[in-house]
Amino acid sequence: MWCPEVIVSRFGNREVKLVCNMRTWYTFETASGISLALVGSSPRTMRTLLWALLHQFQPDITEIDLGRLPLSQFDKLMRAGAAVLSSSLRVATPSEEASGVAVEPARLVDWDELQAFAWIDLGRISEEQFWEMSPAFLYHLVARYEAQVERHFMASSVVAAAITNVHLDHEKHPEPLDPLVFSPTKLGAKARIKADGGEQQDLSKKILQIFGSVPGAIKTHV
Amino acid sequence: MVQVTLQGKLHTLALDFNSTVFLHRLQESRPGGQELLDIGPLLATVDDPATPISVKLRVTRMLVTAMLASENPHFEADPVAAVSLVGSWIAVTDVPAVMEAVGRISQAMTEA
Repeated sequence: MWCPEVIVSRFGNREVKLVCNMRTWYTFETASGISLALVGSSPRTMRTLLWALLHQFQPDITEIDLGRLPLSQFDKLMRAGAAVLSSSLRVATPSEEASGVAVEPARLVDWDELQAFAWIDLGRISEEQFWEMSPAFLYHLVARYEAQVERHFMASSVVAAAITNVHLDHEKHPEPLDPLVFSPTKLGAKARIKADGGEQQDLSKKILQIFGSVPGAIKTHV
Repeated sequence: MVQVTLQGKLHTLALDFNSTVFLHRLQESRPGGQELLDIGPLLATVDDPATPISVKLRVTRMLVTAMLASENPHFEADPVAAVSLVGSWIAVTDVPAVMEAVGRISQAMTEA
């Protein structure tokens, strides 16, 4: 969903709300200086994360206030925090992790760049919409954007593959080239690595090699 | 929470999540950082009659500092210095009272 779920819990005698949206993510990374992907089990980071989840609705609560809670209450609040996180963060499945898709980068987010990307590439997402959005929803928007880019290059990649495959020296290349090899996209990059037998190769070198194998093509040294 | 007087000033000892954070920070700040500083094992060390008195005193000083972390949020910034500072607050004559206070917190934790 666009806006993440808000979970109500208790902080001493007070009712508090926890939420995980882009603002929470920003608040956590700014306060802790570490990526949300690297939270781990450090007590200090866990306290900062819980504080960030509370910060939007209860800006008066500090990290030290949070740590002053009796351990049993802190534990209950941590469980509420875990529920908020699981509903708002998208976790990559093992198959996605294995394929390299949807694995979050373990580095701090460039927030200006991400907002600019949301505004221009994802279609004029306003500043307010951006900060209120759940990280999971942003993930889905990015996935749709990447699918759109893949489709955009698919037709030209099929044509390029058809022409190249017709002219390939079939003794040297018995298997036809996958159209994705010609796509300047994420899937294309993976297809090129696969075509190279797992060894990553510079794109220009690969294309020049392909054209070098086309009869009549100008040989170029790379 | 247990109150204790150190150098004529009343302090509140509290075993909370800030204590856990403090001990973790202390562990990170120590050269090597291998010694596991968990509250449970530290309290058990103090309670164990077989523990040498020198070790008991060292661990008590560490625990008292951790229990004062909520009262002194700046301790987290330099945990090693905080332990030395709290050590300087505890006069030899205060040691029995401090040990008793830690014992009471340990007992309350066991009962909980």
